[in-house]
Amino acid sequence: MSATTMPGDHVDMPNGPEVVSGIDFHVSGHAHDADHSHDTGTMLGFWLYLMSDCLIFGVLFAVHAVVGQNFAGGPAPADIFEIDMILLSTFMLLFSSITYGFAVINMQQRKLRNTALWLIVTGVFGAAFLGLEVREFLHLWSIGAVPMESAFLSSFWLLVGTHGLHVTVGTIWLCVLLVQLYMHGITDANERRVMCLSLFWHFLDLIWIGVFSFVYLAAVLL
Amino acid sequence: MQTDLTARGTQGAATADPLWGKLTWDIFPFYDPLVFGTFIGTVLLALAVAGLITYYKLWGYLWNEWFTSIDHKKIGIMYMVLGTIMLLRGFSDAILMRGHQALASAGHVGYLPSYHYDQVFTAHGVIMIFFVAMPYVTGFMNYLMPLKIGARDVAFPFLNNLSFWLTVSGAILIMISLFVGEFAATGWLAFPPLSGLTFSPGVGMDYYLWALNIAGIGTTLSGINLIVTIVKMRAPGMTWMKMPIFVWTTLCTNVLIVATFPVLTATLALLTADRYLGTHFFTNDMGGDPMMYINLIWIWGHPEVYILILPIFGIFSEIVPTFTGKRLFGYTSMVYATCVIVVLSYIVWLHHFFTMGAGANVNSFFGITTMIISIPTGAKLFNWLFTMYKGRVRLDVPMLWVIGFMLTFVIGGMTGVLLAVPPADYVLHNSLFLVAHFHNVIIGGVVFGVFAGINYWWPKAFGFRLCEFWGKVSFWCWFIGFYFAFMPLYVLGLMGVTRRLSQFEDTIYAGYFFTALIGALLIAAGLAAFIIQIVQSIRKREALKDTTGDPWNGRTLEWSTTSPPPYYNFALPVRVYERDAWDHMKRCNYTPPTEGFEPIHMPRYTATGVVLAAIATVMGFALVWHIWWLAIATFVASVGYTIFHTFNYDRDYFVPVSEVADIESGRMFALPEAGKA
Amino acid sequence: MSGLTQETSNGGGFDTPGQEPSSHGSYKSYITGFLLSVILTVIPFWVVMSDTPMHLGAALTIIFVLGTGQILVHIYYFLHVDLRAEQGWQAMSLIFTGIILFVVLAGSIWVMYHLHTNMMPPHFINDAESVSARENARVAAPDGETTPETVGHSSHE
Repeated sequence: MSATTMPGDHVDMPNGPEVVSGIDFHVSGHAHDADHSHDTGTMLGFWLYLMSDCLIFGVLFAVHAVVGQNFAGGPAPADIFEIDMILLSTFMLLFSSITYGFAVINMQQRKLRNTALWLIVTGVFGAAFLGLEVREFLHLWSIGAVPMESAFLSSFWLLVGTHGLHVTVGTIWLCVLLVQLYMHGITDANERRVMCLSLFWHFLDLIWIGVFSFVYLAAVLL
Repeated sequence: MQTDLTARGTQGAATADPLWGKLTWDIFPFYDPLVFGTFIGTVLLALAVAGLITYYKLWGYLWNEWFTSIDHKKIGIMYMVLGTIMLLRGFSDAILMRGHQALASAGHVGYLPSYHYDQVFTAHGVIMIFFVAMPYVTGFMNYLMPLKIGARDVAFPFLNNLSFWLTVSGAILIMISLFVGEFAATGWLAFPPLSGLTFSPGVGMDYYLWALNIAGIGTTLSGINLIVTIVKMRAPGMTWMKMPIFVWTTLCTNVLIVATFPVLTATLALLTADRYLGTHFFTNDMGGDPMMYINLIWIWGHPEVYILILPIFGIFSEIVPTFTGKRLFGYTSMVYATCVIVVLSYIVWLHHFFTMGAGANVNSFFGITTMIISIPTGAKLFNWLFTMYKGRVRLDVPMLWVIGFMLTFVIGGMTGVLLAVPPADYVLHNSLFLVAHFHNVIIGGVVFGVFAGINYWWPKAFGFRLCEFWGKVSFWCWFIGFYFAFMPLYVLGLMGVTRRLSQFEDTIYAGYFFTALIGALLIAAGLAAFIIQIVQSIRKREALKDTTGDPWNGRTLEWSTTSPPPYYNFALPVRVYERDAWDHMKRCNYTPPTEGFEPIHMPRYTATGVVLAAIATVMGFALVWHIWWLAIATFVASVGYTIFHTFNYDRDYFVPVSEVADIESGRMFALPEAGKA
Repeated sequence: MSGLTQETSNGGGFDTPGQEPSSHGSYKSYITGFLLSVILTVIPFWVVMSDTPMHLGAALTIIFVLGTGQILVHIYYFLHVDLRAEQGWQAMSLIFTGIILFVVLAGSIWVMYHLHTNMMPPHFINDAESVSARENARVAAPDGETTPETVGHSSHE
């Protein structure tokens, strides 16, 4: 804290006697590089968006915690979940997380081709995860375990579906990004976008840990 | 009344047509002369405004200079305009209710059918919170914060424009609901099961849900934007403890926004799923739990109260030092009080539903936390009082509002602490005592603060002061009108009158309701005086011109620019040494630079925000009326347009030095007389 | 919120422009994180999928502790949350979000548990009404199959 500030000092000098001149009240433009600050602003802004998204999932988890045992005479978790398929989906996401990591490493080494390849691999794993999820939803629909059946199923479908929706958005974003990398190469703007999607992608994997632990594994035991 | 009861919620309850959804000719309010008259009047007014704009060939100007603008100052002003327009709408709802209740309590039936009355009080609450108070505080934060931290714009200027237009989109949906179909009749937070499909089959609830969800997304984005701006773009030398208090409260407010609006979005999305997909989150049957909705909505709802009031506390913390000619007393305690409020505001939500029956231990926890949260707020009041103590207080219009606030807000705060006692709450819950309490803090706090701020910063934004006389008329009408309007409601609440009643058996309440009506009319006069104040000031703008850029002898950086500030705010980045940076600069005989300029990096204007919000509005309308093809088409369009926007890499430009030098040399600037004394 | 104010001592703002996080990871760190995640994933799945007799509480503890552990692994190895990155704002906002999540989750469960205990008659929780509604729907459907629409619809009446 600077010496000029005296907390709690209420006897102030409105137009104080001290007249100091020669203080430089301006900064030359180069020291104040707006571009640089803008770069880091995007990453922080995206991170804050993820935090807010995290709270959306927080609400969905809270709802599941409160109504997740209200089966209303309908099916219970143990009746409908295929845990082995969930294990497979989990690994799809886990693989996609590490391949995205490899894409980022290659991007930092300015290897456009390898970056694109690893991103494509990531997209394939993401699509595989989505395929498994669609398969599960179709199966549940066919046996009548639809969201209108009970509060438990409503909550399960919305929670898992919201996560799936995020993965879908991530996959579409990944495709768009591949086109943009192809058009412009690894520019500052594209690098920033790859890093934002990286955060998004790993964040989705993190949410999935909560989903498989809480919605699937624990629920099957209860 | 019988016919109205049977007509309840039938608007748009018909099955959907593939092309037009639930839209039919029946939805237009031919049945109700009151609504239909308003409808005709509004349409004529809108046509007249549009005609005038066309006549003066202003569409191009509005589009190029305002709608597509990503200048934080213009967006801030547009937020204020939105707030003012919606204030007029929300206030006419209030006058309708006051008049109706005054008649109804005197043995008359009143002029609003019960179901219509329910819509009016719901619309009043929703509009006043989401589309008046929120745009006002967001407008202030947008306009002032970058100027106060010495920045040229916010961190994400395009996002700022998009946030604004998404808020407008929500407001448009609510305005449409007045004439096309109906609005929710559920109270402003729309508790299920009443708001569920079973008991509200009409489109009113759907308007509510889509309007709030679209506007809520805009608010969240704006919150992220402003936090990043404060973290990343402060002037060199402006350390955390040298930020003006307004910037601190803006930071805390936006932390609250980012950490609570997702809860609102998720909760409303679940209710939307109940209504559209037939899920059972909040239904009475199939394991649904309506109490969970009330729990979740108040987890958002209580921090929301502080989202509204914290920026206003910041406004008072700027006005009081200026008009007492002293540094703010207890800066550090002000900062800590604000931060403590942020954290505590998350653990008091249950006091909104003590009576739902969580039991003694839960209720006492939340009762105690509620009482604790009044302590930092009280500390702030003492800080303002001590700032005024022994100062040379100038009673200009902004300061009148501040003093009016202090007197009024303290009463509201104390009745709030009273309601925090669970046994007392069991008596007063959902009575007019509660209504009086929250109007006491919201009008006495937020509204008074907004008017203080408008009077204080108007010269900065437009280059001329607001006329003093009508400002004082407006203040006294509001101030006295407030007490006439709401003190009777405290009494009525203690007599046991519950809120949201449109009919009364007993005529003993009539005197109180008539007093409240007189108060509401006084407030209407205050509102009219405010409009006259603005019109008069615009007409006399030459006489009221502010050539100094610093008409009040201010203390923070926004007063170091011209009035209005150039679009890049600061020709050269400012370096800050002290808390009241501009006061320090004046003491050091600062003169604005005339040379040494450099090209300024600025973002380009874009129409993307307007386009996306327009698509969102149509999508909301299509979803409300179950016009599925249109909903799908607009959804695809919004995704496509967003992707299209990401392919635009050319988003900024440099202002050449010559242009900066031109603007700066034409700058009218002189230190105010008071500053030289 | 004390972290906010402590920063004053070392400046803040443009004087210390936010540096890029020191590293976005190397192959080694990603592979370490991956292997740890595999272990932390496989164990809880094994607990559930194998028919090993185990105390319910113990099994749930394993699931939740390892789940939390894996979240931390992801935050460290994949998201690269760094205490110094973005002037500490990244880590601080994560911690703040964690606190709010705790308040929302624990608070809701606590409040709702009490509301249920005090306010919900037992038959509401078991929901005898909707069970009978479901039975009626089954009877009504000709082939014994329940279509979701019929169940949802009948429950509204």
